[in-house]
Amino acid sequence: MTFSDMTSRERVLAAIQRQEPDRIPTFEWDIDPGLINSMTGGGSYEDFIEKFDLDAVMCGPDYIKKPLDNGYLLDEWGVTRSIGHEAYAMAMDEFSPIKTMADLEKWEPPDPYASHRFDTMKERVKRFKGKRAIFVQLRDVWSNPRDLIGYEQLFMKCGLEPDLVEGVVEKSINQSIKLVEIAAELGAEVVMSGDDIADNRRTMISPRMWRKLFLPHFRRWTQAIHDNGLYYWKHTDGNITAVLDDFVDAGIDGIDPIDPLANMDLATVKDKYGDQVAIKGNVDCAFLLVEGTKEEVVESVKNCIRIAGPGGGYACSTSNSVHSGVRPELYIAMLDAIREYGTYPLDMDKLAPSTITSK
Amino acid sequence: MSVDDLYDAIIDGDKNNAAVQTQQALDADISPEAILHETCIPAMSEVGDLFEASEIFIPEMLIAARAMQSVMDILKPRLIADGIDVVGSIVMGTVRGDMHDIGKNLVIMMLEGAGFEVIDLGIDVPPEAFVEAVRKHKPDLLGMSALLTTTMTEIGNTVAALTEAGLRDATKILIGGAPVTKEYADKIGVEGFAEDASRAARIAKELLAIA
Repeated sequence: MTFSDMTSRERVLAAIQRQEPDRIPTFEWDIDPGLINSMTGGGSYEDFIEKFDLDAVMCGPDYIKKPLDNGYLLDEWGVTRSIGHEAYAMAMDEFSPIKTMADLEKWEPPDPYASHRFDTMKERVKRFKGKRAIFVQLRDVWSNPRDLIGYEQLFMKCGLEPDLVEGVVEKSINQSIKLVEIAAELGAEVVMSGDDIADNRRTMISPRMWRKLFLPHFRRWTQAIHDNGLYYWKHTDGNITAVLDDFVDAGIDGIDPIDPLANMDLATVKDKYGDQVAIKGNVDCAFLLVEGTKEEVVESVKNCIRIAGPGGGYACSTSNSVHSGVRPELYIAMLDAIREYGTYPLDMDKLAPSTITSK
Repeated sequence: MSVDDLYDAIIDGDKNNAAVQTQQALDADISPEAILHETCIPAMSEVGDLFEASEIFIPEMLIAARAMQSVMDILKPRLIADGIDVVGSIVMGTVRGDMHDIGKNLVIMMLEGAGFEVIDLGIDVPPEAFVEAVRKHKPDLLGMSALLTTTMTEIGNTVAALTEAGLRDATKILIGGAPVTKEYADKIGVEGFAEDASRAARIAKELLAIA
């Protein structure tokens, strides 16, 4: 097999093994449904993946959300959610299901084996298995406790009732591990989890508290992913400088998206961790892909590739997601540039920065 | 000295002891105004400094704010009875389409800890509701929060709505949230931008020229 024979799947798997594929793969943590609709002429997520030739497809468990009389939604976890501007439904703190140890003992996670649980994933596996890398999006140590306890209450209880927090983290991770087992059997190859524990400046809880309450379970979870024969590409926003060592030591295989809004620096991460983990990121989607020019986008792609491409172990993508504010033509310019400049062996002359004169 | 113990109790987030120490200070005939301005506000200001210096994080700040709240529950009726004015008033809200409230709530706690009266409009607040609140409450400041790149533009829309209603000069505006930058604040012509909750309280004071 020559390199040019590589499928999307092989390209992603080569990257996560920190090798040089035929060219730098590209895929996205999340794509706005409205943009999928407009950019495919009414097509589906799967159509979008195919049309724009993304190298990996995201799947995840399906949960039924029941409409409530108060206008909110109740999910299978017992979490009440409200729908905002984005399709993502925020958990409503005031209705959080776990407030006490007694609540925790009573609380049962949704049945991982429910017949509808992996319907979407089964469809996507059927369509893409063997061609594109199959990712399963699950939750690690933070997001489920946040939704189950409530955001503000989770922070408070980290300080005031750490045993309760740890109990919720433990139960959440036990559930996520069951879901990994099932997803592995169904054909998933890589796990991605997007729990955010940092804001733009630093972790939201102290690194010490993170290590005491959350890290042991994060390690257990990472081990379970590997025990099931999957890779783990961790996605997290924010400035994670203080805990990136913890993620890497726990054994993650990849890190995403090296959030530029939080002053995370691609070169620093590549330099320090590039021999231990694959890296994905980080063409700015907060401003550049919203209000930049095509030329600026191309320069940003070239810059990312110049920094993180050499030696492989790199996937180029937006710095978070293709959210509803991203301009389609700028995203397409990004994809075109990844293909034009991301072929191995990298042409460093071609990748040299150009001067942009017009805005 | 009970006021020193009160100061420590607030910083340590020991709400029961903070309440006990407040009561003892009142029993010792220290005025509610003195307790607030000489002990509580400086304590919360130190909490802000510790937060900015990464010595404490959100949990410790929230727990300290809770202790401050337990003090205010005791002091507030007395302050009102004594006719003591707040240092300033601020209308706060997360903009339309945005359901995130944790950041806004942290800002509110630090503002209250700095002695401000806060009128919280909640989350998903449309421009017309901000306009109405400015008209009704005549606040010294209007604070807006957005956590999403896509909702940040609602801050600009709200500023435009205030201008249209002839109320832009009626209040100063302070903005913040994950995607919000100083450049954006300058671009839409608002007076204040804060990176985090403790800085928000400090900048709010600066905007009103309160020492």
